Amino acid sequence: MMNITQAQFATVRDDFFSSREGPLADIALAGTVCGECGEVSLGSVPACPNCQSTALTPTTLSREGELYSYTIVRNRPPGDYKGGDKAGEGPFVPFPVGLVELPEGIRVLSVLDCPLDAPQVGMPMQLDIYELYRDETGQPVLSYRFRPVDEEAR
Amino acid sequence: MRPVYIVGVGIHKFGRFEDKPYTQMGLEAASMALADANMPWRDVQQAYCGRMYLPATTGLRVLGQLGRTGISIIDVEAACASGGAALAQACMAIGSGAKDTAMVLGVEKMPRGFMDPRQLYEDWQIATGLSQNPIPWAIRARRHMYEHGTTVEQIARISVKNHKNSVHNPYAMYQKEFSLEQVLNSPLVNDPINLLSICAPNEGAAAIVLCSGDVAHKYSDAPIEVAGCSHKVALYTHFSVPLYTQSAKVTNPHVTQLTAAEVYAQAGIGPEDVDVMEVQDTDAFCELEAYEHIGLCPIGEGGRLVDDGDTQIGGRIPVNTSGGLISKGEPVGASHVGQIFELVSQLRGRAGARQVEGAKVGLAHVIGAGGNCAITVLKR
Repeated sequence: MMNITQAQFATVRDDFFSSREGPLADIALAGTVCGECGEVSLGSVPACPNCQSTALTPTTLSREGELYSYTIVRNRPPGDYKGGDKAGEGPFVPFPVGLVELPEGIRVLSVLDCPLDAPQVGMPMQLDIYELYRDETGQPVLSYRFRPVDEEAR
Repeated sequence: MRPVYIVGVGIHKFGRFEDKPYTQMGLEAASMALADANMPWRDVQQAYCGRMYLPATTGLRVLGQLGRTGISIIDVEAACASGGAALAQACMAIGSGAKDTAMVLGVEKMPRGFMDPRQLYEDWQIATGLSQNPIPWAIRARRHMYEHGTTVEQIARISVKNHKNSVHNPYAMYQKEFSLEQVLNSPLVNDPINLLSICAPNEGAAAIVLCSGDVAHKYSDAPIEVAGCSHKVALYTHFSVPLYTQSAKVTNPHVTQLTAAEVYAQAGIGPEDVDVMEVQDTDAFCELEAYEHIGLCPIGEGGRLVDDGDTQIGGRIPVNTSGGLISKGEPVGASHVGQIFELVSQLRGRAGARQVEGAKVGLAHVIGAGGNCAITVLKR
């Protein structure tokens, strides 16, 4: 029975992704739009965090946005970090993170897939759904990140 | 609400005390506060304990050592604002007339390094590497630099100021001066925030004895009035740790602005009436941002305030005369209570080389995870 319903991919949080099947390029970030105030949230929410309405509709978020601000993670993050070398072991590689502002009016905190000196406030960014690691059953676990639209900045 | 007064304060140095249990640190702070208030433990009618990383019934385990008097002792947790939330509860208990005396204890014993992410973050945030606490502040700092031209030197000067003040505070973890170059050359943690501009989670305790005006004269000739005290949580979505999304459309006031407005109204004052402040400096940028949200200057001009030297001892409004959390460390449950200890010392004129001449009004501010914020205004 498990195999019949098992999705192709696991994810770091299922409600953030539009699908768990198919080519990675076809998977987008999923969200919720409020029927009263129009505020968009990442993933599913039980009530609108802005106006408390429960008149909510699922939506799919844009793949492209703009870098609002950023920083660099210089030390291995505490706890069970799975990034970098996919097994969470071996030497730690510093990486940028930033808030990417999407046309829906929401900024999403994300790992940025680019060199440490590449991020600039305002630069165009695009979504990249990628395999963060493999779980104990060998199933790929997907996460999201953004990278510069400009290939020279990657 | 009737007036509430502080009649005693106590503190256990903030730092690292490997073999010393929190029960002993808390006991020393509480005993010091009771002695300062000339109040026997049996006179305390209610107690609150701010703590985040310690176990169930921490307040009872500490204060029960003074004797089982049967009073209500409640632990209060509101992340970095735990001590402020505990003080707000005590002020409501006395202000409402329900109690005449209360003790607020703050105590913490935290491991070295980044705070345990499981206390604050979901598994997916830890797995993806978004779980370092300075990230939200670093991102706010970078945006502030972009929008307002704030510089890394201005941010670093706040760290230099706080470390300089700490030299005269025997209760600080680090009592050492650092030059601007030393701060700027210290390793980056989350750019643009570097190691000497950031506070360390650590250990320590502090305590306050409070009472109503009806009984204050029994304990002190010069009680300090708690003219305002409030704990609030940020509205959608201005401030948040953990940060994972933020609205680009909804622009609610920052929680420090909302809390400050409430406390200024309670105290009948404005920011221009405050003589000395202790504000949250999780990192040096956090303090710069607090200048703006507390109303010391317009939004975007925190850097100019630093350039003008306004917040140094001897300046227009000295901030973090204790050395701030950057020097003291941040035992989260005790941090606000420790700020109150510093302000009471200032208002009593007993702050030694850190003394702000003639200080009559003091303000203490904490902010942290979840957008928890607490502000207290004291008057002598």
